[in-house]
Amino acid sequence: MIQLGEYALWIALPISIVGAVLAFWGGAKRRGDLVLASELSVYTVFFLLILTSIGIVVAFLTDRFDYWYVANYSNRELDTYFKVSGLWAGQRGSLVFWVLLLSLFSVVATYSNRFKNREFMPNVVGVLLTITGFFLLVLLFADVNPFEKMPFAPADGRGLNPQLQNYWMTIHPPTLYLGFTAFTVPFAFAVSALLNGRLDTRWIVITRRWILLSWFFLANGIIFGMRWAYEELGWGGFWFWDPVENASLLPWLTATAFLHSIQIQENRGMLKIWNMGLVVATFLLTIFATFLTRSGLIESVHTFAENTKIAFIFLTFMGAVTVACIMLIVWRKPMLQSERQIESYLSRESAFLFNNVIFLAAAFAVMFGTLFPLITEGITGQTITVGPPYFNMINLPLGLALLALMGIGPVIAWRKASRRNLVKNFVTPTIVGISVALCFYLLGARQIMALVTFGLSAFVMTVIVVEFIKGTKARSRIEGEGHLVAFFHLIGRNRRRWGGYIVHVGVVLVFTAFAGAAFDRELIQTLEPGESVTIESPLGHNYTLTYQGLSSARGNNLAAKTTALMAVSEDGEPIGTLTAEKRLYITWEAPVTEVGIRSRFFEDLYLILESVSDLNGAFMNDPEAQRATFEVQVNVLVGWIWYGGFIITIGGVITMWPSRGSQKNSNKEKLGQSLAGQNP
Amino acid sequence: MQQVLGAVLITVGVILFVLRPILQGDQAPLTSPDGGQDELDAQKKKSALKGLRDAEYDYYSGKLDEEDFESLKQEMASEVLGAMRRIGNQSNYELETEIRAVRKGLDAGLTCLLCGEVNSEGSNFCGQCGSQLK
Repeated sequence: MIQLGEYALWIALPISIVGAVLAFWGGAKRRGDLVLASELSVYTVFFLLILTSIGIVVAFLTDRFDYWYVANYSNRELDTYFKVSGLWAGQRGSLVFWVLLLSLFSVVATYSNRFKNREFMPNVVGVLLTITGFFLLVLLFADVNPFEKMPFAPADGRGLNPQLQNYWMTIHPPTLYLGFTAFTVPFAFAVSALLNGRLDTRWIVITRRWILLSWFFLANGIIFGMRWAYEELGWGGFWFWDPVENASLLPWLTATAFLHSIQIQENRGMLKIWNMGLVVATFLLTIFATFLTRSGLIESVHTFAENTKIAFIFLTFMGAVTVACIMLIVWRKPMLQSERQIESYLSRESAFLFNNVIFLAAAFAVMFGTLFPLITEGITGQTITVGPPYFNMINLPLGLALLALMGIGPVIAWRKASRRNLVKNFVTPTIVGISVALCFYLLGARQIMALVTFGLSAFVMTVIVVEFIKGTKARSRIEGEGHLVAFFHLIGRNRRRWGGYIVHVGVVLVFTAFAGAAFDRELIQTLEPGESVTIESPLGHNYTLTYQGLSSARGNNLAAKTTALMAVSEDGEPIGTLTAEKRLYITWEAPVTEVGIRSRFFEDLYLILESVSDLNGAFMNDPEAQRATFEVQVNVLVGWIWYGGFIITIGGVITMWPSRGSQKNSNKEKLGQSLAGQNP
Repeated sequence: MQQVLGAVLITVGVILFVLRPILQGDQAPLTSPDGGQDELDAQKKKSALKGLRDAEYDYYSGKLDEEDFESLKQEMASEVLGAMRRIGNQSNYELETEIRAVRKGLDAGLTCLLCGEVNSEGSNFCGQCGSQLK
């Protein structure tokens, strides 16, 4: 099975290249047979990549340490589900996983368009297979073949990095990869539209749901990554401005800008070149993300080993895509002229435009900070990195501006809004926003940026709530429905708009959570059993943690783990216990920290076992070796990130939900086809 | 030996599967029935109708003045009619009849703002998509 997988990888490459050639050729020569053959290649490549992936997973599950990749990312005692996730644990497998997901989306795009949007399909299939072919080329010729054999078979593998041995490992990378790869489909349609000269809104209408899907997975992937960092990395934070985190944020920023600006194109026929630019940029940034992770050019917790060959191949590919797309856009420029001009600066169009400018500014700032070490190394020969202060300084004002726009946009009408109405609509939200900020000030909060964020969040929330109420009333009046029915119909009949507002609610919660971090408390203390530490929550109560002692045990894949037990009381009332651990994995030299978290709606109590004075003694359950140093944190509002993420998911699903109209159309279509004698 | 046989079988199978349309002359459609100008105009009509509905919501929820709303309504209604005028190979007579119907429907609330269907007089619900009419 493993060899079959390797063989399948080798034939997938020529099939995808031949398929791409057939697609472009068939499209140009109007040869339906060649186009059909190219579409069959898409299915074939997917089938072959499934065989390859099964081969890798089987190699992991059967402990085949004669394979370099398995030997370096697994060991005998590793839990089964981490062995399965070995498919994306390291550079080599994750490239296979990437191209597998890309191929899966190619299959979905090809199959769902086998009877419709046919004018686009030859070039779409051509682009998708070209990109698939590129990744296969990297896999087979850049020293990253997952089936490479060791010169000898070691008795056991080197094991998986303990930080990856967390259940988020099975969730976070696949979600992010789904987001990255799904964006290839809109890119392929955009390129096809440029090649065909069909530059009306059709390519956007076709790919709208794909863009939402990709955005949805990226957003979730990023939030899952935050959760993982918070639970596993053990420093109490969730975002590090690490180059690879940034790399996942970049396409999300441009994709979000794109999601907003396509509405201007759809509604008003404007910003066509801008949208083309954004779709190309977002696609390139998804590739850039994998390039950063894989080239090892910039140090990061996520990077795989340095591989200059991969760096070179990726740079060439990104350069070629950029040049080709710019040439295409310049060639089609006459067809990409705006149908209208912006009529007024007080209009939803211009609010969207501002939003785009800010998203792009944030993307540039993050990109610049991420590449800064490379730039300085190139110029001065010294690597200078910029840390979180730089990113926070730049992105905080931009984030606040976006937050404000989230409140302003929905209230402004398309085309032109009258000043009088604008003032009328803003009065209540502004009063609520200012009052909230004022309340927090009076309660003793003095962190200006946090106060501004709370105020703006309240402003946006009020706008959204009022918007829902007014929308429901308007619908009730226009359609003569009861308020409850009108409310659900309101959302159901314009899912993108109202689902979008629900996403905004989630985003507001996430922003509030970020601001909450300004109030975090932490202290570090060394304790003997029986001693206590007290930390004051900014919400006014005190937590007292009484150290009970350490106890050690062995565990699966663990040489030893020692658990510190704390009895926790709130204002003198016992409320439970909290544990934190040091673990020593059998395949990893350094001990790893596992934190204890007690989550409540407004704050988390977060316990880190910083160090144990005699760790070896503690591992042997030596009663003398109990002295330990703890870091205790109260993290304010951090849970709102996860709640916000959940609301973003709900809103995202609403925006993507197929409308009744489209279902009806596709049924009609099927009916038409069966009447015409075709098998759907 | 088994592996070589397996590899050969897969290769031959895959190549035959991919090349089958070329050998047998099977064709994939290169145009779709909805691919022409009609579809584009239908799209424009739909988007103008949606714009009209949004404007109506904006007006009722106090974002648009009555004056602005009326001028937008006029403008968008003419966009809808313009798109409809271009749709299909209708004869002038049919076209004029439909445009008259839509105009009348827009005034009387019989044109569905969701799908653009013009419903017969006295309808409370759209015959095409089932949504309630004004």
